Amino acid sequence: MSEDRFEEFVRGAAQDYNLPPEAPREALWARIAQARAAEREQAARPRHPSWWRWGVGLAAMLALGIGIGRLTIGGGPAGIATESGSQETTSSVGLAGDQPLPATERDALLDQVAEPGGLPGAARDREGGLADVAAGRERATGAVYRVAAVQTLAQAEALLTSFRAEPRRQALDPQVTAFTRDVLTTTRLLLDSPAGRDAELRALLEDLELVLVQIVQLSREATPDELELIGKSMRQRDVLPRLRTAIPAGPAVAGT
Amino acid sequence: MDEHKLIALVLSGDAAAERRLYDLHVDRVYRLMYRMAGDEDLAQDFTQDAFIRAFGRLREFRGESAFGTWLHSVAVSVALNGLRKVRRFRSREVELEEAGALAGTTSRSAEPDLKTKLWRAIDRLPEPYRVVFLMHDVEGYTHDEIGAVLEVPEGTSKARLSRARARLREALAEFAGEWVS
Repeated sequence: MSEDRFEEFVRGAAQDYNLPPEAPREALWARIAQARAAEREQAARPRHPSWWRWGVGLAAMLALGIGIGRLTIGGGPAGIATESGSQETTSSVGLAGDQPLPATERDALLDQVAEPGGLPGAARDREGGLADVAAGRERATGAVYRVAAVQTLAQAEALLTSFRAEPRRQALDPQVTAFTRDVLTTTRLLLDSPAGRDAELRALLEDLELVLVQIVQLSREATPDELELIGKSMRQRDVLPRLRTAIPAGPAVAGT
Repeated sequence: MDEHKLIALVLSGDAAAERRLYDLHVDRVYRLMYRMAGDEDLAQDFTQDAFIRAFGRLREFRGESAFGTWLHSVAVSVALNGLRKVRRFRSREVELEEAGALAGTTSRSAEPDLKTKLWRAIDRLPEPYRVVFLMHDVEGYTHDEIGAVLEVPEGTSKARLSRARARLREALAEFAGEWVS
């Protein structure tokens, strides 16, 4: 058989492979323009300097180290007092080095640190150390929240991309439903977390929650209308493009 | 209007220029995305993402190649990343269902004729070969263009195409008589 004839045959037969319809120019442009407008708006907002992420990472590591130290030395996370009456392990962290604070007093002070000008005179010398601990905790919580949020958004993106790409079947695969339920649970936890103060991320999580609920609630005999409704929710809220914008970019793959 | 002027206008924040640049390239990008994805929603997602990323990173475009080439490079990267995610997700499903080998992105009939068999073989090509095959043999890009888009030497593009064809020939061996006659 001739090489040329095979190439000719393949070229001809492959023309119908994934034969594209006409590009939906206007619909695509509407989505692009909307996403670009959102990007411009975001760019106009003040941004954290580049060292901020490093700072958060270091704070998270520091907090983790302190946590491990507490668990391994003190035998408990809340700084349990030893029977011999020696000082609490937690109270040695960041304090001025004189007398340790009882747990109740320390917690009360931490509460007051959070409020401007709320420290009593006797505890003023301990203010710096306590404030450091409180700020460290807050930063660590923020970092953990971010990691969890990025992970959830990445899972949601994979899920929704696949959901849209699936041929329109009558019933959703039970495995997909279970996975959707997991992502939904994490999304709700993130929404309920006090660390999630980022208004933009919150709005995205709320829209994501709505779409995930719709997918989870798909009945066994899902009609094309139900599926279309989900697709519409995703498109109207620009869920996928927003998810992709929110997830940090991976390595480039062109040329591989 | 000259494309360089359009790009300058886009960089100055002119949304109308963005639209004109989009109009110039959307059809070709969408065609390639569709060929790669085989699914309307995915093709739209990839096209949309490619333009958003390209406009967002336009300052990185140094004009060493044509804008279309650079845009295609972004688009192919977006599509490959997207397809990898979809396939990873699907392969897990397939494993769980023990449904056998992972098929392509479109549904095919159970009894394949020669054409269907060819399509399945294209689906199964390793992604670097499949991209080159689709760009060259299906969409008519030159090896020069493909090399620029994929950031590989022209010779690599030719080699990948040759390997792609060899694999297809192997997959279609049982039908050899049909194209000879």
